Amino acid sequence: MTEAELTLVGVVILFGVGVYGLLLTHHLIKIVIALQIIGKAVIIAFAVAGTMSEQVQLAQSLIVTIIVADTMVAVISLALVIQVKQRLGTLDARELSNLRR
Amino acid sequence: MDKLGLLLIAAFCAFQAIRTTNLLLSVLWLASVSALTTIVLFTLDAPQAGVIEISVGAGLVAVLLVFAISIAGEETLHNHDTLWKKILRRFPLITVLLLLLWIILPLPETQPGAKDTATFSTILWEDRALDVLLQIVIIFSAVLSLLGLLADQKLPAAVQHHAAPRPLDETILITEHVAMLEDEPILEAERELV
Amino acid sequence: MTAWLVGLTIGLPWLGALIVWLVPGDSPKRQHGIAVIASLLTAAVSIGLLTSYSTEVALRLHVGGIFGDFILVPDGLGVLLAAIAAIIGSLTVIFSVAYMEHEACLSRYYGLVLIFIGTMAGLVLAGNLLLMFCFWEITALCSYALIAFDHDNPAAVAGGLKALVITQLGGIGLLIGALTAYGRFGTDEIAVLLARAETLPKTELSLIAFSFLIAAMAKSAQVPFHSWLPGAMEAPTPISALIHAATMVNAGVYLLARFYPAFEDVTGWTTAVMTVGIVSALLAALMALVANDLKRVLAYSTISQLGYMVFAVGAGGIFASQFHLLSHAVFKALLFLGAGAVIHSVGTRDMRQMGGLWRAMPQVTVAFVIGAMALVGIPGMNGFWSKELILEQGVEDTSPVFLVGLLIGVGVTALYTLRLVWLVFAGTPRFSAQVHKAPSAMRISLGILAVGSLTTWLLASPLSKMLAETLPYHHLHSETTRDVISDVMTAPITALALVCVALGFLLWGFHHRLGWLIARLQFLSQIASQDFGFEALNRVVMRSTSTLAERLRSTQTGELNWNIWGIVAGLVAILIYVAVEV
Repeated sequence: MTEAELTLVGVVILFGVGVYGLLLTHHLIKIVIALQIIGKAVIIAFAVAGTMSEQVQLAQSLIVTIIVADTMVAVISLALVIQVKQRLGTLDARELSNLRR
Repeated sequence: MDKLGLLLIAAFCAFQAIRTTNLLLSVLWLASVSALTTIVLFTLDAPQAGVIEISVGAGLVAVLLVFAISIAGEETLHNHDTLWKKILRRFPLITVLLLLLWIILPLPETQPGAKDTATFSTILWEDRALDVLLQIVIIFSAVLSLLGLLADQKLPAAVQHHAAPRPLDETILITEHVAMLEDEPILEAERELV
Repeated sequence: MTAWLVGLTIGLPWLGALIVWLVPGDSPKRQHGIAVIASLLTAAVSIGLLTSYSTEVALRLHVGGIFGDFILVPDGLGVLLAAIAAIIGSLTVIFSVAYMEHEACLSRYYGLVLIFIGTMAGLVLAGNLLLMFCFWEITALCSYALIAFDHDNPAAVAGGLKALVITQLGGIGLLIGALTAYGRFGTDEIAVLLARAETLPKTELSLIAFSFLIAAMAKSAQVPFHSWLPGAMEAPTPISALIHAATMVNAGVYLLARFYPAFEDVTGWTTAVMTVGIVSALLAALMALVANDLKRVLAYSTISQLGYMVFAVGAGGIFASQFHLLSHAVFKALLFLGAGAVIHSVGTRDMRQMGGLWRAMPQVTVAFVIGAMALVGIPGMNGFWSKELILEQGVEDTSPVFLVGLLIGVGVTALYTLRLVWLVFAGTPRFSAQVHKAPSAMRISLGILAVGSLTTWLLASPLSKMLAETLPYHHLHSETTRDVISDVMTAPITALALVCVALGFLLWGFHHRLGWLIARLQFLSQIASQDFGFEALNRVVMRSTSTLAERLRSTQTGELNWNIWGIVAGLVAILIYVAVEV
């Protein structure tokens, strides 16, 4: 295996941990953390792709976009988490599912 | 090889971030994942992205998380449901499955012909100007929705009375105004809580 | 300089919207004031823009390599519609100061109106199809949000959703056309499509032409997609005047006029356009005849007049269509705002409960009658000159069937307009409410629009010059106002049209004695009040859309873990597919 492929194996494992977190947790803040982990795996995948196609600079500018979008997702979801906590008094995603009719 | 090692450590940190029941510790683990990601980015010749990652990922997001935890409180949930064990058993399965598929998959032929000669800043500001515009839009809308969300904080007190219809808030956006129609279930749930 | 004018015409109202939105809700005076100032400044800038039209790209926004630059071109067509949007927009905002005096949520109202004004200017000034599509959809969104402004009223919400769904489905047509052109040329600039349309394969060109036609029909409320417009009458009346009479509904006509040179030679396209126009003009006029809701009558009349414009484009009369568009924007905004003043004081929209209002509100009556005369086409009004030009275009280029249809439409227009004015203003009052005088903000707007209805036809020569100079592919030659007058006055069709108008008036005058005829035609009025069955068709579209949404809803369990399983399963499926393929 080449070095790029080995790195990608690491990326897949990191990604898998993030997915595992999303599958497992019901805690709203933990969900945000798991999303962040997945985002980091994707960032590294982009950087690897950049080195493979020798377009590192392009990859970097895409990574910046991803980081911005990811951070904004975190910001909004944390604001929502605070709202949920203040209105419903819980941080459990299962409680939210019970709100459906 | 060193990158794989770094990523394995990062995966371990991520695993700890998810497993630990202490939320603040979880944030620290996440910050270390971010730091490791930055090192990998540096070894992949992407220093600018790495700098942004460490400052935003380990800095800003961690601060925001701590801020949110301090407001929302450190509530730990006890997961004794069967789903836990089920998924725990399936977790290695997922990774192994993905890895197997990966090994089967030959990587596509890369074409190094389009090697970029321009610097990072020219690419970001000129070739990808649309992305930058979109980023500005995203940040702007995030700030607006944040203001909207945090400005609502007085509402629960008013809602609990159930006496008058809720005073129409001027800051409600169009998107929220559809959601307003579906507010009734929330009110019921609150009644149960009260 | 032009770049600034273009940027300000779009940017000023958006800035105003932002400021209005940030003003606290407990100071309505300030909100009214900011909205009026922002819209008046926009109107002033747009008048500046009228004088500096050109075919050059005024503003080029560099957005990276994939879609090319976003460009804004202030050519004749675009400048005209941008100015209409800004000027009539400012008049409706002034009117709203009185109309929305005691309403809540003013910041939402004014914010959306100002966003709409800027977006409408952007839509007509855009030089790329993609940019145009974005603005096209934002106008639909503003229209939806303003129709459903009173979201406690189920009829308003339903009307808004209907307008949104139907115009969005039409918008897909625009997107299909734009992407086809982009796929072939590698750029989505409008000028490129116009210049190189002949190099496209026949099938692709007709695909673009007909999907643009569908987009235009949905936006301009042409049969069979018209029924959202009457439903949109739940909006506050100034909104009906601005969006659903003077500006947004014209976007379809604009689209057809803009691309006419490219699609002219597509087999069957011009015939299809003319047929759509004439059918809409006739059917909507008949429906206006039997409606009893004051605003619905005006809505049907809008559909009918838009039909005339669409017909004119199909017949090749670009100047005639744009001239009528200008006249119609002015007099229909006047009629709607006059209706708004009436509804505001009487408190109902049912014409059967009005009557005798000329004593209580003489100034509004005068303004409304001026607008009605322009709609009918009484000589001297702006509607007269532009409508006769369209009729003349009908004589020149089409078959007699179309011409007869047009003339019948003119007669029916006279009939329903007289009925409308009669029921509302003449006779004895059929209501008990205390009528109060129209506030001064309303009278200012009505007065300016009434003067406009009497005089905008004098702008024929500058308008024609502007269009001829800046639309190289349309091959227009410039006409002076004098030419237009002599053309209209010497054409035999003018006399015929006036005879039709007189016949229409006579029919209303003798309608008490024509009971037997009306009884015979009862079935027609039955079908007409049912929208000729198209209402049912639109309802089917609406219902299938919402049923589909309801069905798909059950897949949304709201449980995160379930969703993640779905995502992982999808990822695995993709990986398997890739593995098998490679």
